Amino acid sequence: MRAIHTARLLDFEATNDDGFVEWLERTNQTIVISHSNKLLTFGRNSSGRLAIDQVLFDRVTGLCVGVDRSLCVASHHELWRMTDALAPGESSPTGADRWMMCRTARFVGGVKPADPIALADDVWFVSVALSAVCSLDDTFSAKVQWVPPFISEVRPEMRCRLTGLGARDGVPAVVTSASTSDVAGGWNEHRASGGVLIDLVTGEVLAAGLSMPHSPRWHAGAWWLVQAGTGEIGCIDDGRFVPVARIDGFARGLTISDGVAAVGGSGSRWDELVEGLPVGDRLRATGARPASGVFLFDLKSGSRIGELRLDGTAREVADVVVLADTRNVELSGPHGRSAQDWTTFPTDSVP
Amino acid sequence: MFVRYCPTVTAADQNTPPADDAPFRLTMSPGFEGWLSENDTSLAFALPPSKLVFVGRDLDNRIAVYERTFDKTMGLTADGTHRIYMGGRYQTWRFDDVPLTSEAADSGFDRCFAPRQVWVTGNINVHDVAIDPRGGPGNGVTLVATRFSCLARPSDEFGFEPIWQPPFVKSFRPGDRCHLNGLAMGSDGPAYVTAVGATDDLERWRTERRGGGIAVHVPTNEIVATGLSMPHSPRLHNGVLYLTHSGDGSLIRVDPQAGTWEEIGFAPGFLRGLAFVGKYAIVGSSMPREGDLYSGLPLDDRLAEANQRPRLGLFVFDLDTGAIAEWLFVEGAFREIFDVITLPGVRRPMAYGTVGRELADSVWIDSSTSAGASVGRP
Repeated sequence: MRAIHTARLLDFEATNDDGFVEWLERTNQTIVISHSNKLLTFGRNSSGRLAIDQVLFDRVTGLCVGVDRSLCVASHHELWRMTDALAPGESSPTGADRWMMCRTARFVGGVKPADPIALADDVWFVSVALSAVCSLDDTFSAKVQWVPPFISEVRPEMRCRLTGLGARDGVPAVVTSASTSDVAGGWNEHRASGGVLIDLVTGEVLAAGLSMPHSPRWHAGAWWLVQAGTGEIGCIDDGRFVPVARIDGFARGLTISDGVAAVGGSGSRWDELVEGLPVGDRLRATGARPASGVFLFDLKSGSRIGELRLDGTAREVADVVVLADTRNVELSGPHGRSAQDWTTFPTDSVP
Repeated sequence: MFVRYCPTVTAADQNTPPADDAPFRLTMSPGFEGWLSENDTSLAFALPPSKLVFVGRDLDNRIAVYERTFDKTMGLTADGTHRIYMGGRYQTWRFDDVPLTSEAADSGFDRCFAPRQVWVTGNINVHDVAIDPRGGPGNGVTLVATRFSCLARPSDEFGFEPIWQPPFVKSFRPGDRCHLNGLAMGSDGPAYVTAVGATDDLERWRTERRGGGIAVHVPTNEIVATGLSMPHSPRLHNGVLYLTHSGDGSLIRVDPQAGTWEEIGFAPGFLRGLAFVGKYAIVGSSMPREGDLYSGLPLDDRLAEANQRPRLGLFVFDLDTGAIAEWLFVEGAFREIFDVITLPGVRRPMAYGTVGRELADSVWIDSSTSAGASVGRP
């Protein structure tokens, strides 16, 4: 029997099992997810219980952890950089061992950034609106770095609906797309099975027939991704999707750490998000509990080792990342009291 | 020393309805529009707490005003005429020019600034903002962090990076110890700063407002001007150090070698914010209110002597004569101008703000972007 810990926070309720916290404890990690217009963190407090922090952004569409342990937050039309305000050994006012504060944002306008990859001096992301892979630019909303071979014109028309950007050895290498449509809004016709994984360098389609694929991640010599439309987590083997696990929800957001996949789940039974998708059909047919939250799977066995469910009005998890060597994270958002009342400065540059 | 008085304010030559429904209106001297044309410039000024105002001219050379709302508008600086930085309550913004819509271009707009980056500094009370031509992180943007009594750089890692403190501030710690407020940037980096008092105790500068103000040469830490009342806005123009002697209502010229200064002219207001075009200085003017930080100063006496009331707006001084050549007054709910910049060669600037969805919904793409672009390596 599992003990359940429930935390109620403003407009949602988080319920986790022991396995969820045990994994965080064993790996000494904290999970950060985007939940509609918030960032949520799931760490542990001093007594080893689940600790949650949250901060308000504009709608969050993607997250990534930089090599310098910064956090990159794609927030509607902004790309935020958050850095740790604590020196090693310090604690935040709430006792967290990392205190991520918003430091700077770049405004990218209406290109609809998603699934960012923070590089040394740049951020690459998919522009859902432009159907292109983009990076930061000062003159234009974004610098177009790559366009799928089937897109004939770069226009803010959400043609194929790029959904994810995957890096290999720190270099952007693949994208997922909901479709190969070249007409405005055309992706919507192909949600059930029109999705592809494409190699950025060769333009080659590495896998097709996917249902709303998201979050391509390179792990153990293969590309792993989630098919949001089926709720499946799996890898691509010789052009074929090999499912390893499944959730009863719109699967989006994937981080693989310590042989475990942390997967985001969104949507309710009657949500338009899952309408017309295999997962939606399944939810309605079986009466299964919609999987909204974060789910942990052992990639070898495919077994679920932990979960944290989110119930409430906000149901969209867009991305899931883990912060290594972190018991608990406190967040300071881009606006509000904490952004005004706290600042940081390097003590070694003090005049 | 000589004093010139502001021309008598008569019925406004023209009232320009400000953009949107902002609660202020502008009136100007009869020659102001012609002056903008002759000097081929537009202006931008920070009207705290919330407005950034652009003053240009339309296709008929009539004044054209454009304003945007921000959470506090403080120091302004232009890097050329394509990039602007502005300090706010707890943020500092970078604006770059973005492509104009054809409708805007047809209306005579020739520059559009959009916020492209923001730094969250925390409320360090940013005053002046200037650009170090030697560059550096954040393109050399340098802030006067008044609440930390230091010059600072915005940072991608920290709230700010302190780079210099006045010699009389003995250690780095939070607190407004001398009301460091102004920065004159030179070709070799920060050149001069202004402070309200050469003090080190928390908020002690408040007792120095009548005449304890100073200017300091940053590279040598030498105090080059003393006896000033709330000096602000030091600027180097053609190698000469100017600043606003705010508590005296005057624009002054400083001789740093001799440690002396002389008045160029008087205008009825707490003068702060200073920019130049040719032989003209454009000075911001704020209105002291009894009991506030800007009252109880020599300015009160000069206003009484001149039988003038303080004005909110801009005064244009002729540097050759010290006379007020033109003026632009702001009427409405505002009391302060913090800074002013010129945009030479720009006729009619416009800008995006951060309020609402306009910026979030705008897409600017390079029309030369070809589909099928191959991947570039980061």
